[in-house]
Amino acid sequence: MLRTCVLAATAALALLGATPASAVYPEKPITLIVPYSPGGASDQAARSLAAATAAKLGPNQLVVVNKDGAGGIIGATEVYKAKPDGYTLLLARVGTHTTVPALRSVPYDPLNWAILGMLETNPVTCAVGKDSAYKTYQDLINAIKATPEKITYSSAGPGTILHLGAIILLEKAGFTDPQKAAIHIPYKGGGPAALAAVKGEVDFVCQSYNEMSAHVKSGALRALIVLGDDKLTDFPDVPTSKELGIPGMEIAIGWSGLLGPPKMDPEAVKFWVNLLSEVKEDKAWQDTVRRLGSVPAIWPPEQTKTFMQTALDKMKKIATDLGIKL
Amino acid sequence: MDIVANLLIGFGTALSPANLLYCFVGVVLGTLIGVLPGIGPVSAIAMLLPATYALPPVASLIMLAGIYYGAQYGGSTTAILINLPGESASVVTTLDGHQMARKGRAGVALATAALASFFAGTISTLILALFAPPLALLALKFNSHEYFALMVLGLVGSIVLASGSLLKGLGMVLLGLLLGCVGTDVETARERFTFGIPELSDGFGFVILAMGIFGLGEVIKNLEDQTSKDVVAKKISGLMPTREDFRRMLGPSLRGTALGSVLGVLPGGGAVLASFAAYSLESRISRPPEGFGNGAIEGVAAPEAANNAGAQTSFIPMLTLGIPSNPVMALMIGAMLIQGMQPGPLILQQQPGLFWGIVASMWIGNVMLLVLNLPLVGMWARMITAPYHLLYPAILVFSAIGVFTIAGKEVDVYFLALFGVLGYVFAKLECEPAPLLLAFILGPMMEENFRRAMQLSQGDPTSFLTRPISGALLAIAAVGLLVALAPSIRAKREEAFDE
Repeated sequence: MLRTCVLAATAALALLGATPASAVYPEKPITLIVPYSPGGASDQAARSLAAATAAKLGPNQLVVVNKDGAGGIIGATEVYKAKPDGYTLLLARVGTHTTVPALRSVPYDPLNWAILGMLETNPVTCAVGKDSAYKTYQDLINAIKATPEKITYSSAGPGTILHLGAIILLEKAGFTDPQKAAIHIPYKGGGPAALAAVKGEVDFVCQSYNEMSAHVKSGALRALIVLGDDKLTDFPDVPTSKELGIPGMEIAIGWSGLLGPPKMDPEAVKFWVNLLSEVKEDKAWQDTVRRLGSVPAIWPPEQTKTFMQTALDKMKKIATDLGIKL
Repeated sequence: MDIVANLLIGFGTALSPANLLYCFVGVVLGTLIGVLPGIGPVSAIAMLLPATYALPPVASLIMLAGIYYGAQYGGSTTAILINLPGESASVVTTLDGHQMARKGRAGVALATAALASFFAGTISTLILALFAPPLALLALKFNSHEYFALMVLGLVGSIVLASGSLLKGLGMVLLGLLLGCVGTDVETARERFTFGIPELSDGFGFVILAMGIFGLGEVIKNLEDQTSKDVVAKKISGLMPTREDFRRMLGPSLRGTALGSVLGVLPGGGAVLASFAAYSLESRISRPPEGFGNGAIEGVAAPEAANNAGAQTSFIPMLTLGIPSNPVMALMIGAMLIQGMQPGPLILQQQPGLFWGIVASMWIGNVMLLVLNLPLVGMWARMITAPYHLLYPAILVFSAIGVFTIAGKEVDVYFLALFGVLGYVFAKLECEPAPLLLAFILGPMMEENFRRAMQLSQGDPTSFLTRPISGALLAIAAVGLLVALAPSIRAKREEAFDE
């Protein structure tokens, strides 16, 4: 109903004649499909992008549509099969294009897309409750070594980057069976997983920083390590895995990118690549993204594609090596 | 008195002309969203979130909060008039609310819903102001064991919801549990009972199930039944509650508010339980002359008070601990973060204007909702007398649109039709579908929490009994079950329903 109103209003604006009659992309509103439910990291990324491009797109706004289901596969498949005219785009996530395709078959080729660019990254952070005895990452690892198969950790669900990130971290810490060293307790989504660590129901949680920044800032959770190379802007004291001498964790990162169906109209691709390079410099957009706890990371298509390829290959290898399947 | 000073700060903030306007916009939008089946507050707030980037923090939160509790008001309208619950909280309202409408008391039912909601809103605003921090700690005490025990208690209570045969009630609970099993297993991410249909990988949508079984089932049943048309179309007797009605709704509203206020604080599932729990409790305590399920005003007042109280107190863990108790609260936290605010224990000290402003605006919003809704009662009540060749197609079309807008999936419309037929079958077999819906909601949560609790306690089932809160809840459930199954009481129960 609301969406219809917005569409009607934008259509009315278009009739008032802001754009010339020639078919210059975009000549109508563009649907941006978010393959997850409202409120999550992907939804926030999509809505921040829609707000940042609103002035530039005028009457032909990005209309965010949530098509939730099957771990993001339903929404992604729909865009994959959509008409490649540039009016249906996907807010792609680490789930739709890295972890799920690495663990099971999906109805699309995760690399055969019109890649418009990376948008944001979400560093995975491991944290403990405020009353926990573990003050540092090393404390935690020592405890897992001292009491094998006892320490518990929560994640947003099996096979997510957060679950896999924890397993990879434990493998690098030298555990021969990283799936058994600590007990994985899956929750329905990142919010409940972080809450479990706040309440002390589990010993630690590995979670996208943006989904637990509220708890870390309020002091209910203590962040021990950030996976990858980038420090948390809010907490520069929390060490990164790189600083702690753990290499190769940079693939264990959440990300949101903008993709279109394969063989998307080159004009539209060019339009979006240019527009994204403008958004990249937009201070208001950067602020919004940072406040939500993500890292603004608009990368050009080639860099995005290389990253996606590397991440998928490495994740597939890890899944085979460790025997993780869904 | 601190509380007076605090509320003064709050009203000072909330009564500024701009904030009053945003509060008004919020509650009007919320009412509309509530009335339209299928469109819930989550998608509406998500859509409006970017629009709040430019607003001052207090104004944006006041508006979003208004949408949320406005939707709770609006949702009961369709439940009462056309037996179409737009969200989980209004399912129970259909049981007696719609029966009241069929007896020509639609106006009274709507007014009762609005008044009970207002009453609950006022009291729970006070509770929020007085007890926010201690109640927030309760939310932290509830772990997987306690949730499991609470769900068991809820399920035992649901059998009470079933009028008629105990066997049929149990059957509906089992069917609800089975329907709840469809989808992806939380623990292993394997799909269950999806038959390879990707749209089923997240299970059936609650709204689809509720609208199909209640709303569409009702339409089909009425088409078959010539006499029922006369029953509904008969003259509406009085729009406003009488003195006697007021007397009867007071107790249920109070008890509903108390239950709703406590359950609303619990993240995940607490608020859903509130209206069901209030109805179950009321059917044990009150003795309405017409009996429950036949248009008892108590059966409208209690759940409506409970769901509104729950909606207000669900702000407590969000504001004081930064814990979202439902998806709407998760969106509100996002809205606060964008504004550079940090929900959590410090918000009371750092942003008293904001915290108390929101609390005060809730009460003001409730007044606005009452003023908005009461005059509309007459208009809504007349709607039910519309000719059937207009009313029924309209219900079908709006249900289909509503279901489609939830996720934009065609297949959901087919599921709606399927559940409509199922609802008709249930009506033919005289099976009360409310326990099915409650089991459908509780089943998956119960399973998830049970398995998690077992994992966390290293497979020790006695941990459910040794933990104080979980042990106490399970004991109450056991007593409840014994009472329901005891032969002498069962005989009395069936006798009561035969009357």
